[in-house]
Amino acid sequence: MSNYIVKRIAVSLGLIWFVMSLIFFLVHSLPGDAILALGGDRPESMSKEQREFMLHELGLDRPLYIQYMDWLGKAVQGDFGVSISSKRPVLRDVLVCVPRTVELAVGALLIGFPLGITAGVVTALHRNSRADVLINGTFVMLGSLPVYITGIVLLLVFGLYLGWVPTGGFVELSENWTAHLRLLILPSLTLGLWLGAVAARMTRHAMLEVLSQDYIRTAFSKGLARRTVHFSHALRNALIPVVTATGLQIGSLLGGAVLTETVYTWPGLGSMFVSAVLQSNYPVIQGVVVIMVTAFVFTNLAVDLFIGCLDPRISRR
Amino acid sequence: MAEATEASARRGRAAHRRKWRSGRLLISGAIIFFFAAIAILAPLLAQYDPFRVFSGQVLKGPSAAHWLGTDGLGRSTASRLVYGARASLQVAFFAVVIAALGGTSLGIISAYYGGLVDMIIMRAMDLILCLPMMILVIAVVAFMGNSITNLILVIGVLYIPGTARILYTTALSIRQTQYVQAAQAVGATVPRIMLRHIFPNAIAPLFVHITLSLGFVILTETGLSFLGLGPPPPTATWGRMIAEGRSYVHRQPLPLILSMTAVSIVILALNVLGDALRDILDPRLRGSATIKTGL
Repeated sequence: MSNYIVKRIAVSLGLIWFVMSLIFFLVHSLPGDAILALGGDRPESMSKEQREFMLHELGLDRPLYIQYMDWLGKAVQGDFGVSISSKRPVLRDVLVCVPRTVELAVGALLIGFPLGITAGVVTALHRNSRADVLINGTFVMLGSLPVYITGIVLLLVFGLYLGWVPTGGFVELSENWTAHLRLLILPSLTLGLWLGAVAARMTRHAMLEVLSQDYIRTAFSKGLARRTVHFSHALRNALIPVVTATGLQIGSLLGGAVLTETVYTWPGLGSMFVSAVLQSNYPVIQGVVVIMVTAFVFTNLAVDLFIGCLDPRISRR
Repeated sequence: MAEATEASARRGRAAHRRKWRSGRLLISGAIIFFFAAIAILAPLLAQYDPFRVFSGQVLKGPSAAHWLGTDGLGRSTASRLVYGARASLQVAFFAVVIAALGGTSLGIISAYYGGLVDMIIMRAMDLILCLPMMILVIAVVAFMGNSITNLILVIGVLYIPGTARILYTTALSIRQTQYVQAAQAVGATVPRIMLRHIFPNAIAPLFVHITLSLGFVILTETGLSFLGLGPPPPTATWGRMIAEGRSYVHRQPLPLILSMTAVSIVILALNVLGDALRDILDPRLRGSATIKTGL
């Protein structure tokens, strides 16, 4: 087990290093002026000497590998430079947005898991019934539609048409928590429905597989109640692959968060990322990508280790 | 007696399933064919240039002059929809071609040689597969620019690992077969074995994977366009139509509704087509749960 954990952690760190290097490479594939702009200056208004001085000041005339080591050293410490738009250190801006995206992800998980698992169990227990076809069909559709389409439809129906929830704006949690949570409902539902669709499909499949096993027949034949067999024999075993597969969707959840936050103008990490890209705010792009990938890699690691605890066979492989 | 009815009922269900399978294939295939035709014939089909602005005809409903009305700038919605199909399908098609070429060669090469080559290639593929795709695409596009060519390259390259994984697994089992061993024994060259023996037998899973990938690539492209990071304006894309359509939905909902419908239909059709193809081409996987995600 401990061997397995060490290996998984090493792979995770390797992944983060890979992404950091990719970002470094991408930054240095930019034309020189754009790199100068990273320092917050206006390269177009500089004389030739000024330019050279600036390049020297910023260390851009040093050999590439030294720049690389330098960049890596700073990035590891969370120093991604200063945001071009806000003039504040990138890390500070990013850290303001992180909790908002975490809230969204937690909301999605709280909606998606119970919804998906319930739907999966119901459809598996009533296989090929009308309810199965209907629920399964709906979830297949929800799972394959892009989140921004589900998001816009929800927003139009519940926000604009029914007027149950506000259609935009943002209130800090500390200012007015009820208003804050009201704003969070639709974005969480949007991502949650998508996550639920993935979970429902997996649960249905896993339940059907488990229900056809011998030990389920044994449990029935020794006279256990239907409910006991379904829930404590079947569901418990079916949940392992569900947790794995759904947990590994957290990366897509991040991608979905970018789209969902844009639909609902929720000022999280995703919105910040998109506006940074649109403004060519390279320091922020670097920071957000590294933070997102790090978060993603470590959630995957957590899911893996959690699965390892649930099912000891996996970590022994 | 009871057994006979049971058996005939089972036969009836099997026939019903077969019919359902081929029906699914036909309908989804026809839908994709329809959209592909629209994309290819866009210049002939479109009533107007998709960029042409009809001033004074902003946000109009359907009329003889504009079959599906106009958008917020007075551009023809019908023409923009038609050209939007072109942008999406173009990116999807070429990106998937890159992914298929790269993934197939890498997958077959590492399955054939095994050992160190295998380890290096497939570990690298796994590494990329472990990363959040959408974030990576956006990051690369942010630095390299968002022209259609760049989008195709970036998405294509990032889809190589998925294809390589599929081909690798298939090629690995083909490599063990007697006909490959026989070919080796009679002294066939390595490229010949790969191209004539391994590749043709791996086409079925490749085909299924390609169909499903087309859907994912369209999702990625329309998602990027929706965020404003897709092909630069004034290119007409469904994603941008959706983003723009939101702002005037209370005055003229047609551009928003139609572009969202177009995206949904194409993606659902590709998913159904991929599933139907898998059931037919690769019966071993019949009924297995693929995770089809909206991202």
